[in-house]
Amino acid sequence: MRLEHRNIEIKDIVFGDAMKVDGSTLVVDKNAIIDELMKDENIKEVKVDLAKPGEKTRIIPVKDVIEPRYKVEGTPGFAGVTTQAAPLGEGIVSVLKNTAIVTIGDIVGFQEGIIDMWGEGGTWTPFSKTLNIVVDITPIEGLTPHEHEVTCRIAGLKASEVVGLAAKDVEPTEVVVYEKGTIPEENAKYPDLPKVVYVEMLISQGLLHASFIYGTDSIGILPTYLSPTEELDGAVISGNCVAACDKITTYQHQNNNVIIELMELHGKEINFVGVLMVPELTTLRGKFVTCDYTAKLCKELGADGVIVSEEGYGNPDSDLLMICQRLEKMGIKTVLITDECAGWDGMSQPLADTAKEAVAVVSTGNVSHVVTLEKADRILGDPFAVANLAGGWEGAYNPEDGTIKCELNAVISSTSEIGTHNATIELV
Amino acid sequence: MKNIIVTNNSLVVKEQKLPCIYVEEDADQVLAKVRDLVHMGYLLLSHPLGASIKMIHSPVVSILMEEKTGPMDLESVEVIEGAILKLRAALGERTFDYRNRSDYEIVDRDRLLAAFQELKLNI
Repeated sequence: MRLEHRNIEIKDIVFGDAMKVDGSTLVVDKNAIIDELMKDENIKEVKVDLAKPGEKTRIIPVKDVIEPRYKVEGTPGFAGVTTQAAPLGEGIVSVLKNTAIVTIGDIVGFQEGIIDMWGEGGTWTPFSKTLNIVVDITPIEGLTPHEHEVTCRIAGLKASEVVGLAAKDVEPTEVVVYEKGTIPEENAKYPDLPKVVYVEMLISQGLLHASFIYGTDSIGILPTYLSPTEELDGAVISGNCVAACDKITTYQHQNNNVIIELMELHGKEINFVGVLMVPELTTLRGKFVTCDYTAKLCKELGADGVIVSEEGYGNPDSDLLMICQRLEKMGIKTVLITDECAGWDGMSQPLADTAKEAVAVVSTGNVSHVVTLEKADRILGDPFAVANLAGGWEGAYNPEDGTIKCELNAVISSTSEIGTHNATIELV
Repeated sequence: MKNIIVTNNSLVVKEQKLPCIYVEEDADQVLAKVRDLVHMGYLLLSHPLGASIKMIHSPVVSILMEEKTGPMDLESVEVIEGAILKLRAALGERTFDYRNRSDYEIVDRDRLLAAFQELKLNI
């Protein structure tokens, strides 16, 4: 499969009368977004704002982040969701780089996704560096939480497609090609390179804890194979919106750093076999079935090494370690990517489970790390959600100076378990 | 085989046809009750912890079990003991997030329904 990303570097963003790219400025026709989204009869009102890096703007509560794109050749849209079901992963895509659609609105009261465009908060979230088109969706009265969630999820995807139209016929500033043959073809080409499989775990546990592959809720699947380019082309969509720090947004699926890195190494240091999408289920039986099945698929694919990334915290820790145990016992070297919930001082046991086989673990940060967020000049979204966030513990919100003390778990993608984040390791 | 729900979620008690053991205290006490039942031989069917840090702050939780007496299921013992320790550690100095109780009830009920869906329990 061959997927070409024609990246258009955007350096500024403004509102205007037409959706277009003017030099390196993205001109956003606000009404075009509103008109498209208001076609959904479940939506009462849509507000669109812009948020730029460096502004003292706080966006809360964030539901999803999506990268605006335009499909030049190949299956358009998010196939199976916003467009007809058809295979993704091949063709040409124009990408409005450095921009993002950010959907906001509280579906439940305890949603705590913050993007600060400046200051301490901005240093932790990668979406403080993108030029954000913030879409605030108010649904009609009487929707169930499920209906509300679906409405906002689809609205975000559609907004990204409407804005993506600006990329049509624009010359790219960079072209990146992701190309890989079938498994037998690549095995014949690189017989001496170690075969590496990427296992991507997805929360699959109902409302606000859901993931979708070609629109299919991953709660109903056994682990399944994707070609790496399919995910980079929009095959995987986020339906999670509670645990901000390690929620994998749709933007991060579209730009999955593990896949991009493995594609870079493919044919040089490794033979990247492909991606297994693994649901994190809630029953113990479901966990055993998926973990056994994942290990079996890795073995059948001839994996010498496997990289596993987790999503979420709590019961998924069990799946992460069960997969690791099974693979290591089969003699397959396994690297885990996860974040830690290690307490304010970082000294507590970081995961909900442990295994002696987990000897190669990449930490993406401590979700319990406490940060102080300065007072914002402008809040996009629900100011009440800020007060709600402060309810984490007594005195966390200071009404006199407007600062908030909170854990990283409130900051979007601060400890992303697929690597699209800012935290790094300092050797001491 | 008889399944039961151990819960402090009033929504679940109101709507479910399965027998429920209702615990009138917070999530940590629901887990303690589950541990007691596991020690009597009951099997854990759904994981006691949620899948996100926010659900660790939830004062409500519902756990699906299989009613059974006899020797303890060691897997169930390990999972519930680990979950109790992790809940305490993850809460830290916090109390549960009582202000959003009704929303937690909805999400908790949904996770329980997800467990039914996985196990194909037509309830």
